Amino acid sequence: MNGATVADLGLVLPELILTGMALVLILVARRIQSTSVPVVATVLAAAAAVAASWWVLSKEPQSAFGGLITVDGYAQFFKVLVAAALALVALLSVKGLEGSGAPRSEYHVLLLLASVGMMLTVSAVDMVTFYLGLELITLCSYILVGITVDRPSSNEAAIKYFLLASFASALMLFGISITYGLTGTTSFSGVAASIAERGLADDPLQLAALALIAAGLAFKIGAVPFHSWVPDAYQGASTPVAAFLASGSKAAGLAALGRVVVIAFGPDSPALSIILVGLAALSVAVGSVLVLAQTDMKRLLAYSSIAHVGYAVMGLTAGTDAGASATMTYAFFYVFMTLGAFGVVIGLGARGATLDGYQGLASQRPGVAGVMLLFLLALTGIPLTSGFVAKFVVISSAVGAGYVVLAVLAVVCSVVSAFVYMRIAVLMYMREPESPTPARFPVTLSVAIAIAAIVTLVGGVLPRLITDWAVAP
Amino acid sequence: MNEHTGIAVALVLAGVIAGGMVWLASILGKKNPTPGKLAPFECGNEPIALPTGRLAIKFYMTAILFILFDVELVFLYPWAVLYRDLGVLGLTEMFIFLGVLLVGFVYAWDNGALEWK
Amino acid sequence: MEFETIVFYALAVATVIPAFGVMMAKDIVRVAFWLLASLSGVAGLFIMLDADFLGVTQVLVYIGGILVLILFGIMMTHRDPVLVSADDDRRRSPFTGLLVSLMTFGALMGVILGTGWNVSGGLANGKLSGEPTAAPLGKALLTDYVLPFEIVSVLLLVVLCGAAYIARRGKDEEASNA
Repeated sequence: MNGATVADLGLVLPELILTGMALVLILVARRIQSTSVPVVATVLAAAAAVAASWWVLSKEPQSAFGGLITVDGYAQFFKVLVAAALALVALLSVKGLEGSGAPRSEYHVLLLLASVGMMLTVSAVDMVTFYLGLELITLCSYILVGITVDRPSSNEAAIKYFLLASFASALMLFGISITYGLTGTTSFSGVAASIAERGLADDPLQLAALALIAAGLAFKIGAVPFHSWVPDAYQGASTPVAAFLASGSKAAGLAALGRVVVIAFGPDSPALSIILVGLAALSVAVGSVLVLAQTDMKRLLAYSSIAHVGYAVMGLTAGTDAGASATMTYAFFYVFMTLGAFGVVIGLGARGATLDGYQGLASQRPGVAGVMLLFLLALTGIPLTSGFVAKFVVISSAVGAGYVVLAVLAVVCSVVSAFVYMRIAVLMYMREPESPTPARFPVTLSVAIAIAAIVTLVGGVLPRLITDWAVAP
Repeated sequence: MNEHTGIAVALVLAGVIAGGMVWLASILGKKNPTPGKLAPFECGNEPIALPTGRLAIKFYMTAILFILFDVELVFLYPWAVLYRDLGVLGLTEMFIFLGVLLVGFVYAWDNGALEWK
Repeated sequence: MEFETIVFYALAVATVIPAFGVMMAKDIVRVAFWLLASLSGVAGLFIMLDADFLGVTQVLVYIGGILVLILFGIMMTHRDPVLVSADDDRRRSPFTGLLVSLMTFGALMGVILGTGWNVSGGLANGKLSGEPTAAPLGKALLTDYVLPFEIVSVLLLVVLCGAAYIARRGKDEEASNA
């Protein structure tokens, strides 16, 4: 390894932009609390980060900081996605935080720094940066979930999340330390080389370490059986925070899982395939069944996110580059459709929090009902929406890898979960309204929802715009 | 045997001698308690009750800030051992590290976390 | 027996006996002080096994920091008559606990002794070098691992701000209740 040089700084430009903006916001936190400066600053920083990622994108994969992180197409893809999610969440928060008592400066600082953690996680090719990136995300998330300190439910969610997540982090760290002890290195490629060279693929201790790391990551993305925190955290947190956890955090966790699978522990490891197939099958099945029983919109979207993570992991079971790029596509489309759905929930305020609130929405606000229908169709996976493309690529990669049963399960569960999404659609279009017409959405919220809707629609009609760009590491 | 073994021996010896003296004093010393001797002498007011109830959260704030700067110190220590060898680059890196934490300190100060109210 | 071995066992005893104290003590303040002794023993072991930086960290963070935090935590919740429970868990049969700890011990020993760890440097030939480790660690931290080093500063920043924010709200509440 050679030490870092100043040139390396250019490669982490998106991270530097977000960190710098966060530092400035912290310094002036008290003075801009009730202004719109934090929102504007966050959106600008996110836009600059997207631009910076694009700017570096055209270059070849480069390793930076002595091989601790890499800047390749995979990392850039996810960095753009993370920054876009950050910008959309910041826009959603304008309305979403109204009257919640959450301090705007601190809130946006935490969003920014969590996004820095996500960007580091998606570009990490070494256990050290991988772990630190994930920890940065998790630490910010604890505080974000509990940021509305005046609400007891928020405190409860934050404490539950904190206890479980620190346990998961400890498990993962234990797995990492065992791997380091066995292989003598922390770099992903070094681990893979050492496993091959020393014949560790069937070593029980190495398998235990792999299981621990996989369990930690499964917790971070909220895959069954490590999902129990998801509904509670989403319900207790304020809605934009739940949207952030469902979008950026999941995408970053999936990206990290993808790298660990494809580079470090190798696609040929049978144990890893079993773990991934198990996670995918359980998440899809449990998420799709439990979502049927939900009446609270945040819990509903939480269980939906569990099922969707299962579909996304399905792409990785193949262990191939095509499978990994299917997962990338899935993560990309899912982020936008779920952010759109959360956006509508936020826009409807107290009325949007429960299923009953959607009764007769179509006759009161046809536009809102229309976009909500689009997101619901996408979440179900109906053709001509991005959800169909996403499900199609992951299921076909599972079939390609020979997991036909898993693919059949995925299709069945997709049909099962359609019941709940279509129930909302029926409520919106076929019932008489019971509550007064909701107020007009603020411009920021409308812009965010419109962006999400455009991506969902264009992704469904012209998927190649995204899929061509999703190249595995 | 390395240089630290000596330190360990010194620590153990110090512990044994100090502990042993206290122990010996408690065994050999005469005990003749009277109410006058048991009262707190020249130690402030007589306690009216055992300290019950909970401490204010401001103590916790101080403790958590202390831990954070404690952890920061752990990172300063290996740098301080060879800061001459690391030169200007090392100094810059350490200043960035400290600068980021200083931002947090300014935030805590600015928002009244250090006020004892 | 070599002198080094004697020191090792002395330190091991100084770690394990207070650990029993942690387990047996009835009063939580006493538990904290037993923990202090046990952690000091671990610090001694680290220093003896050539990990002097880890030993210093153990003293600074665990003994100087975490333990103080535990004591503060005790003081903030301690002796609240409402919180005293009549049911003492320790009176239950210790058999399950013993079984679990023995199984954990067996599994850990089996793994530690039975695994071909990929170690390098002085440990590879089973000898302690006696070299201080703080300087090489500092060099690694500020050259090869400078990115993680700076990430740690951001992590600490988040913790600092989060703690200040959440505790400040607690203080406001306390002030308004008083």
